[in-house]
Amino acid sequence: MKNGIYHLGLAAIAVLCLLCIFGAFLGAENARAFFNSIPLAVWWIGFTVLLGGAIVVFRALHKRPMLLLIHAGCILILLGGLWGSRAGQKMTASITDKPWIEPCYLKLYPGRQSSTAYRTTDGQPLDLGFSVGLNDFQIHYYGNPVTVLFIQSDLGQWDIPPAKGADYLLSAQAGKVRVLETFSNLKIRMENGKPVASEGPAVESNPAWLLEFVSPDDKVTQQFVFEKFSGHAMPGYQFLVTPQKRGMVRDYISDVQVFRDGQPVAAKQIEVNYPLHYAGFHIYQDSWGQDESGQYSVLQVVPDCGVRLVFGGYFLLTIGLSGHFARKINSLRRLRKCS
Amino acid sequence: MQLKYSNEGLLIYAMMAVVAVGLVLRVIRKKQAAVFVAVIACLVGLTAWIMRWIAVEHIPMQNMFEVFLTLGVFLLPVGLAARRFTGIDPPSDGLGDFILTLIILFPAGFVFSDAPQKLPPALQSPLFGPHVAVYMLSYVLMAKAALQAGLGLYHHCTGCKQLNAHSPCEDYELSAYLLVCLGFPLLSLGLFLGSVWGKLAWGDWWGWDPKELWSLACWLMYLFYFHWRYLFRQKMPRTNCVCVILGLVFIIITLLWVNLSNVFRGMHNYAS
Ligand code: HEM
Repeated sequence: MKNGIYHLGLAAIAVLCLLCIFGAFLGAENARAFFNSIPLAVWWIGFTVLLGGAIVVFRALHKRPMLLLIHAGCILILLGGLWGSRAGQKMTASITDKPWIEPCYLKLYPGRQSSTAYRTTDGQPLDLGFSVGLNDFQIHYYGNPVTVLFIQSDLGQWDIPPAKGADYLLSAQAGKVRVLETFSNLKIRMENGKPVASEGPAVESNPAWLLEFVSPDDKVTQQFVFEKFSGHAMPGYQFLVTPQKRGMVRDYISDVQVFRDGQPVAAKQIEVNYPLHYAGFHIYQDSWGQDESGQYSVLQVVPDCGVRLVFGGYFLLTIGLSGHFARKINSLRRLRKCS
Repeated sequence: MQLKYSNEGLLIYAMMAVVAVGLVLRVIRKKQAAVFVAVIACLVGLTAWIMRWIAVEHIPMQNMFEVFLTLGVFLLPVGLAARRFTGIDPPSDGLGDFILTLIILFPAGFVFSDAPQKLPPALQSPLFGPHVAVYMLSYVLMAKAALQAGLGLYHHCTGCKQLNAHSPCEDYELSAYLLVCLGFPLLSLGLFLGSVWGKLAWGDWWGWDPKELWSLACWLMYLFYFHWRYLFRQKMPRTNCVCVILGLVFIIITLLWVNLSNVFRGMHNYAS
């Protein structure tokens, strides 16, 4: 019986190794689905039970503290993994009668807050039960980033330098573009019923560019582009043009505050590698973007189910392995010296 | 194949030349001189490593070039420490360190690009250094173990058993075992630190990424080896040795997966 359990354990380790290799050929998304499928769920639970049984059955595994730490640590990791999986979270939610909040993301513009997040898997809106406000969002670059004018249309996307000068050929279908004028403080006044653009006083600032597009059939259109109103559009504008910075990003930082029932309950400068932890959730800096309403920050909200169990398990495992093998090496060394 | 004329590149070639001299001295059994030459080789390598650190402004463990440079520079001192720790000292181990150093420095010197890269936000973590360093330390130990295991297979003879003495195979097998005993806790620590980092940077301690799965397969291979060896002790030295060698094969696949996966089209990995 004991022998049988040990052989089963040995075989289980070999099978798990082969499953990992198989999973590596699937790619991350398919591997996640595979290892979370029902047959594999049965496998994980069976493996955990086997380990538990081994600790009970084998004297060495519960009498020798290091071996106990090792095997119990593995059980904790497996339990944490089971609990943290989608199915595990769903089950906990139904047992505890709490709403089940899956990993989701928030899209926030500076100065705004929201309690609605969108599920990572299918984009469905979810109510978080608390709201997250973005005070400020900053991007830091290695060195100085260069500003470009980013031009988008159905025909393609282009970057052009924001300086007055030469024609740029976008493509045969899209035609040419030229920066006609640059302004550091654009003011528009009306002259004889027509809008006229000119530089305003230097104390204010409203950087802007006037672009001239020439279509392949020689139709000329002009467009204003504003740094501060990046969504600016007028009837007849063919292209969406936004000034953007280009450079290698060193950091992006969201200054975030969490509110529950209108009261601030947590705050942090969230960066990659430094999430905010609040009420069973980690809130991460995920990415950022820019659209007609300006620059926004994308935050990821992830429940922390099972994470403490997993890391506790890892800790026991590492301690146990170090202790066990330190002793082993020492005793073998002595043995060798004698012989 | 690509020659490097940068200072680091030239220092790598210099180190390889000095290591080759050490190897020759070791072969003709001038042990003292070989140790002296090994120290010089390490100093040359360390200079390259520090220069690289200063040039890229972060610990040089980011890309393949830097990883192999670090492995090559620190293999000899790690090997020496491992010998002290485990008490093994068959002549093959010292000799093996010279050979392994040459093998590992080769791709750094001739294959991988040394274009400097800035650290993207995800890599700017206090866990970056420890996670990679611990893994590399254990990889070096596992490589040394695989070498001993290989020698064990090579020297296997059924006749020795009857003489009732230590067969060389058993000796090599034991050396391999001791080295894996030293490397395995480090491999586990690397996995641990990687999981913590994954949780902090990406929101999950396990992402089912091919590279992660390969690293778990390595860990499980050695786990299998320990349980197998516990079951059969040294009754099956050859099978034990095969496990240790397979472990290293898996490690190499893990290390090079990003490069190898170009062979298998459409695969996900960190680099893409
Ligand atoms: C799944 C079923 C498993 C069973 C039935 C099992 C059983 C055992 C047994 C009976 C021993 C021998 C104890 C002794 O030295 O007297 C042992 C040793 C050990 N087990 Fe497990 N184990 C299992 C899984 C694991 C796992 C998942 C790990 C992961 C860390 C592990 C790590 C170890 C280690 C490191 C040793 C010491 C080996 C040595 O001293 O050479 N075991 N195990």
